[in-house]
Amino acid sequence: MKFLKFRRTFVEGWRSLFRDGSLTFGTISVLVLSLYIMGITVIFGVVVRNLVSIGERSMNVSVYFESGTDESMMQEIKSELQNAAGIASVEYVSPDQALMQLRASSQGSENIDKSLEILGENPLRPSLVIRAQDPRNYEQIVHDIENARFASIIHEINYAKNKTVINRQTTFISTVEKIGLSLGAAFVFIAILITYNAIRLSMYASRQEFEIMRLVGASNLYIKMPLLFEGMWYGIFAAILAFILLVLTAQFIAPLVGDLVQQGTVQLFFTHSGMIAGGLLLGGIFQGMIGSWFAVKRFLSI
Amino acid sequence: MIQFEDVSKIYPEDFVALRNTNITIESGEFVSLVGASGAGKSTLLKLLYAEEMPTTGRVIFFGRPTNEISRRLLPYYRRNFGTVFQDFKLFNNRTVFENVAFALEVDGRSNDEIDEEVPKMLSVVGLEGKEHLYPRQLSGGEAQRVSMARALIIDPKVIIADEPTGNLDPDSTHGIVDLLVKINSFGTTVLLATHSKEIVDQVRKRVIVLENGHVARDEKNGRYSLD
Repeated sequence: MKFLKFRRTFVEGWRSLFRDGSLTFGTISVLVLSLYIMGITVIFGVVVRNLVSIGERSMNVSVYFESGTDESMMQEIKSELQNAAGIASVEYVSPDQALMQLRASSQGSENIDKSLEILGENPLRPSLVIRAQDPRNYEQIVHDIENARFASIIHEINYAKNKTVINRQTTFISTVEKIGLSLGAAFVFIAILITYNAIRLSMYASRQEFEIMRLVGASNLYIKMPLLFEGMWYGIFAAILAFILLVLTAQFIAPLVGDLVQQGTVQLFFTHSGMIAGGLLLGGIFQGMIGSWFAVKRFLSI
Repeated sequence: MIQFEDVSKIYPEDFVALRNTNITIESGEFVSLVGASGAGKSTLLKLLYAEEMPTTGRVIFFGRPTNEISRRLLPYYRRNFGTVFQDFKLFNNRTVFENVAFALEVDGRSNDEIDEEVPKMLSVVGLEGKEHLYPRQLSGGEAQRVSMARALIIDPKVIIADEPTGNLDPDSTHGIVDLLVKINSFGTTVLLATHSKEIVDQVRKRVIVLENGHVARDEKNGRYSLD
C-alpha cells in the first residue's frame, strides 16, 4: 500500500507539471540558468587547474654550484635535499649532462664546439634541479638552501626569475576558485528562491484542492508528496537542458578561446560527461526539492 | 453514535457560533439541521468531521472525543464521513471518474478495485456515460451527484451534506434529496444542513432547529416550521 501511494503521488507530481505551463517554464528556465552557470564555473575551474598543473610540472628551481664541486659532494647534498620537507624531487645535472642538454637545445652545435675549443674546458657548472610538491613551497625551499651548510659553494639560484611566474599562477588559481564558488553559491540561492516561489504559486492555485483532499481524508504526506515530486521533476528537466547547453558551449565556444583550453574542455567532456551529467542531476533535484520543501513547510498549514 | 456534550464554539473576536449545545444522534438516523444563515449549522458539522475543535465541551464519535485524536490520525478519522457541499468541491482539472476515484486512491485501494467500483457508484447516482467529462461540462445537479458518488464510494458511516441543494434547480434538488433518503434507507446516517422548507417537509424525519447557536427545537418527525 505504501508503494501504491508512493507511485500515485509520484504520478500526481508529474501531472502537476502540465497544469500551469508558464509557471513550469519559468521555474525550469531559472534552474537551467543556475545549473548552467555552476557547470561552466566547475569546468572553467578544472580547465584552469589542468593548465596550471602542466605549468607546475615544468616549474623548477635550479641551484648552480661552483665549478669543480665534486660529484660525491653533489650526491650528498642531493640526498640531503630529497629528504627535506616540501621537496618533490631533486635531479643532479653534471657539467657534462648540462653541455649535452645545451647542445640538444641549440640549433647547431658548431658554435658551442668552437667556444669550447677556445675555452679549453667545459665552463658549465654542476647543478641540482629541484621541484617542489606545491608551488607555494619554493620561497621557503630557496630560503632554506640559502642558509644551508653548503651555502658557501652555491654559485647561483635561479629562483628570482621564476618567482613572478610562480606567484602569478598561485594567485590566479585561488582567485578563480573564489569567484567561481561565490557565483555558484549565489545562483544556487537564487534558484532555490525562485523554485520556492513557483511552488508557492502552484500551491496558491491549488489551495481549494488541498481543502478537498483534506475533506476526503488524504493524509498530510499524501498532499505534500506530489509537490516534492513536482520540484524534483523541475530539477531533472533543468539538469537535462543545462547539460545540453554545456555540451553545445564546449563544442562551439571553446575553439574561440585557444587550443589549450579547447583541448582541456573537450577532453573533460569525453572523460567526465557521466560525472558532469550526474552532478547536474543531483544539483537540480536538490534545488528543486529544497524549493518545494520550503514552500510546503511555509504555506501548507494542514 | 454522535454526541455533542455541552459544546460551545467561539471564533476570534468573541463571535459565538454555538453555545452549550447538547445533541445525541443514533446510528442510521436522518437528521435535518435547519436555521437561518449564521445559526451554527455549518459549525456543528465542521466540529463533527474535526475541521474545527470545540472551544468548550466535547464532540464524541463512537465513544471517542474528537479533541483526543492526534493530528496524524485525523485524516483516517475523516474517512468515516462522506461530505457534500453547496459548491460541490470537485477537482476542476480531473474527470468525473478521477474525482470519484480520488477518495479510493487516498484510502489506498488498488487500481483494479478502483476501476471496478467507480463505474458502479456512478451508475448508482445516475451518471453512467459521463466518466470522462470534466466538472465544467456538467450541470449543477450532475456535479452534485459526482460529489455524492465521491462521498459514498468509501462507504462512510455518516453522510454530511451542508446545503447540498443551495445551487440547484427544483428538479435537481428533488433528485439529490431522494438520493440522500435512499442512502439513509440502506443504514447510513445522514446529517443534512439546509434552510429550505420544502426539503425538510419532503423528508419528514428528525429536525433540529438552530437559532443563534442554540438548539431551539428538536423533533422526531418534524417539519420546518411550528405551524
